[in-house]
Amino acid sequence: MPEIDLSYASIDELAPRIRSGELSPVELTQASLDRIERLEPQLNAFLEVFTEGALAQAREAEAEIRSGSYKGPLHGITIALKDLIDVEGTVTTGGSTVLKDNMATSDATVTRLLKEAGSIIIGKAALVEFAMGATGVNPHYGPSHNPWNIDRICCGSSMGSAAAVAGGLSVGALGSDTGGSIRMPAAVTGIAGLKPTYGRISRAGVLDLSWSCDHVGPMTRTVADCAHMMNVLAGYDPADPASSQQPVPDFTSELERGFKGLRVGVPKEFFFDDVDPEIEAAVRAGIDLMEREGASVEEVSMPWVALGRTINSGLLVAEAAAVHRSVIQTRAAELSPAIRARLESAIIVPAVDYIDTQRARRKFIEQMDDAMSDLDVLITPSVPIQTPTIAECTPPPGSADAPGGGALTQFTGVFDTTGQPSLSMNCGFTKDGMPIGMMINGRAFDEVSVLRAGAAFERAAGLLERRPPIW
Amino acid sequence: MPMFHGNSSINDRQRDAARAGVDLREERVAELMGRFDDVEANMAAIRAIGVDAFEPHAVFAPKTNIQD
Repeated sequence: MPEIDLSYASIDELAPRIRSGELSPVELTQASLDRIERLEPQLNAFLEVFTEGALAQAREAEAEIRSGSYKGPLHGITIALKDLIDVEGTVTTGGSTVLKDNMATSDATVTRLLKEAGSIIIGKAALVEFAMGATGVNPHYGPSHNPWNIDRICCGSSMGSAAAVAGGLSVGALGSDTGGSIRMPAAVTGIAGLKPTYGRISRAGVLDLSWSCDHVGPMTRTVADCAHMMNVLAGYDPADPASSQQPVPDFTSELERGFKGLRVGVPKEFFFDDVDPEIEAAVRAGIDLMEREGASVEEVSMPWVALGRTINSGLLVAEAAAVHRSVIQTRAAELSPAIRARLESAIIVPAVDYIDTQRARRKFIEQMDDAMSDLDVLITPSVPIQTPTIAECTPPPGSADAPGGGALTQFTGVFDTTGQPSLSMNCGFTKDGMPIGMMINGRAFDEVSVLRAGAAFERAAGLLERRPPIW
Repeated sequence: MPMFHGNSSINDRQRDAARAGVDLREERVAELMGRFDDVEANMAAIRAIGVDAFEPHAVFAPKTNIQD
């Protein structure tokens, strides 16, 4: 097989080599650890690196494969976990010093599934405190830096997961998404990030932010790699009260099918109303490419759609205040000023307003279902603005402001309200070389069509060869 | 967009927070007034959505474990 760069190879490239014995999981893991040692001071992607544990897992994987017990495409593959996902015997901080001694006594379901698939858990990735923020700034542990320009943010809250994958420190990662925290970081770092359908992947052993909006999902360099991770992670889990028993498909089954016959919708309202011109041009060029490749494209009117973010925000703040009420009551002074202010202000939401927000959500979901009844996917920009600098998003010391965050979540939050599957992937670059994200949104439990469209776009657009300048 | 009550007093907000079990000093409530108004504005926007025909089920309500 041709030689590959281990730092930027996909699971599709690595897995056959690992299976055949051409590449050892130990070699791949050591390459990740070497790169972490070299680049982590610039990127700040990790809160903890499991050097010894990862090498032990890699040696075990190597022995299993040599003995003929190959487990599948994730066997021997390095994965970073956002540090709100439990790994037995390690601390889960949630990006907060409040939880600095929060030792996990068991693995989260997703951790267990990855270990059973033979993955190498390389470390715990940085995040915004309690996953409650869009810019990727954390006063306790510092911001993660964007591999495409280290002066710019990775967005949040899964900023370390994005920096690790985009910077070539880990082959894949897990993030979580309540208002856009997988897809915004994926968009601004040029990787693929999938928020699956609500209930598709277990949340058991993952710190809560908002029970009815929280999703766990994969972040990888290619769309196909998201599909490989979904094949390991998706499925019913009795430990998660919201886990779905919908049948689980093979998420790789239609990756090669292409655009021919795919029904693509483009919203008339909201998503292109106030978007940076370079971002709009790149997303619309992407839609044109889909049409040239055989997709049928139609405009869809959804004048109600802007309320999706409003509803998401209403659910998120009320549920987050309930999740963290004891922290607000007893340890508020330990929180970063912006998170403290968001939680303290959210405590006033009356029960009737929260209930009506859930009712509004039900109405919104029905409207979205109707609008997408004749569509396979809906295409939108991921974020409306160009990637801000870290300096622009860093509040003065002690300030409760969170500059730069509001605009970022405008589009992603819509699909946390509906729970639909939503993929962000790269669709181009700005004049100053920053990635531009495009969202491919599907119908509930139809991740297969989302991944099909994403993989077809990836092949047709040919953007994967471009690497960040950090090397 | 409906009007929202952006003119609540500090004492009103302090009482609202206390009802939720959070005791905030007057000075702290004063610092947070703008944020309380943001939360209230969001709620006001949601109150303007006609939801009479809708029950408050969470998205994709969980089902019984049919595998048992």
